[in-house]
Amino acid sequence: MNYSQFSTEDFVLDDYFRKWANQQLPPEDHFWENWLDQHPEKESLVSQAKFVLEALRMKEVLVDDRHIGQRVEKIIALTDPRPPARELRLYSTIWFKVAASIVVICGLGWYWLQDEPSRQEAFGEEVATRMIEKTNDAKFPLLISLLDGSSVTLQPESRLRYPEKFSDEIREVYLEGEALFEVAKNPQKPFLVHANGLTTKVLGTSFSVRSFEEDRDVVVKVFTGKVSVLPTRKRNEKSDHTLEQNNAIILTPNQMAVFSRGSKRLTKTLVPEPKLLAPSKPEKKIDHPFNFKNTPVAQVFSILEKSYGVAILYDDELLRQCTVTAPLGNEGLYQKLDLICKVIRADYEIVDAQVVISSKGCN
Amino acid sequence: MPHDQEAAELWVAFKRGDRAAYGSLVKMFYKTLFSYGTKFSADTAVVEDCIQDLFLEIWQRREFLSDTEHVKFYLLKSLRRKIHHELNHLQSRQHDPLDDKQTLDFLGEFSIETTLIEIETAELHQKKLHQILAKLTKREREVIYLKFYQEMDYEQIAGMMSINYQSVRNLVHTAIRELKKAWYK
Repeated sequence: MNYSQFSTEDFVLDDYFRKWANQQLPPEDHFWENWLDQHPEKESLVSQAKFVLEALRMKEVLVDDRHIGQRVEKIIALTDPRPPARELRLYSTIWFKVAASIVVICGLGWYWLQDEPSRQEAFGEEVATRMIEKTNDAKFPLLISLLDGSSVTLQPESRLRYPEKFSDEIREVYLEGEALFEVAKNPQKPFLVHANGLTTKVLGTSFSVRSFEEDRDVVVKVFTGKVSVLPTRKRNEKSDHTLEQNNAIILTPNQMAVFSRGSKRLTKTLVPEPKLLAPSKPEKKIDHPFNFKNTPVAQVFSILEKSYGVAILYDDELLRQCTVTAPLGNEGLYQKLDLICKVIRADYEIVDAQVVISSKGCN
Repeated sequence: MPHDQEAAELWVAFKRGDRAAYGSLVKMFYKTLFSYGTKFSADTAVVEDCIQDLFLEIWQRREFLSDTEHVKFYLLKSLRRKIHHELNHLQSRQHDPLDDKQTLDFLGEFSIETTLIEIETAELHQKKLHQILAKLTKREREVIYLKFYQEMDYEQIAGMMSINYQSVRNLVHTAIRELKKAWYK
């Protein structure tokens, strides 16, 4: 590079010069100092260029590296394809209930807590029933079977307290740390997990609760059953029923909710790697359900919807002419969608845990 | 730049499902994305949510992402779209999530606009400097940011902001030409 011909603008626009001016060059790089020694007449051009760069300096939000490190680790962990037992996490500011009767339970559950706040404090009191406490100090998960048929996989460094015998109306346990719950169905006797200000309410499904002190986000992923997620209100806040229902997010299998504790924002999306759902009733088994041969695209989407339990939105009219021929098999949902969209020259995005197809139509 | 090349290589590996490469990309670009994102919203939580969504999404779709020499460009552009979408969404819950007609405002400020920093210029020129910077529109500021802080070339900036190449180029040159007039020694 012939820097001796450079104008002020050229210097300002030169990446290497800019690095030097912004002190981003490694300390052993003395190129510019040496160059200036050899071209003293360029001194003023250079300082003018430095001045311009200085004037253009922008304000940056300061953020510490440790915080960034945690966020990075979080992202990496979230894409980790581990078995469901460890994938489902929940935090301390989330309500989480079975959605089948969500509206009712939502309200009832809350009023019940309102009416008898002492129950929530029962943790420390241990009045009537004897409580059992299990702490997992080992390096591997501990399986605990409860008398009602439910089981709890308690992760290391976690603690579970539960009554020796559940009451007649409710099943309640207290958790610190992380655990996977497989709850025996019993609609008459809701299952509640209290964890650090969090209450999870279930009527028979599998889910796990995990609480990271340092985490800013809460992520709930659902594998079986249906749950609803709702940020917990402060205990003294007035119960605004309608608001609560509006804010609740219903999750079905393969969906996840991310709750940001900072922005109090709850969003719903699909899990990173949606799994094929087990058919709810034994249907006649179709071999190679994804082996499409001139299959109308509506049918293709309907098969995907059923197989993965996701909603696919598209313009019926526009895609009427589209057919798909593709021998698909074990690819993940996104890969399948990518391939199908390629065939019908469409695009898709995930909006509110739904797949939205945009296409110009076939023909 | 070696950085670009390294990123492009990691990109190829990540697309094959290499988790270590993916991790390196997240590490490599998180701060850059954070810097850019926080120029659109003061709410860092929202920005970080968008960054996270972006990275989760590329992992999900890794096999079908195209090869790119310009990983940073791709990521910055995707983040910009995400934040735009998100801010629209937050602004009006009723807003159609697929319709991003509202504009995205670049809020980045120059340090000397709000802070007293030592800059080698006479009193009179200092004032002039402020006037010049104050005249820069939000979009012009974004161009400058992308050029000088993200080291993008004119073509990439044009693609990023949907404006034409020549306008980007003119804008950068005019800004430099104006600013250097405020220099005095």
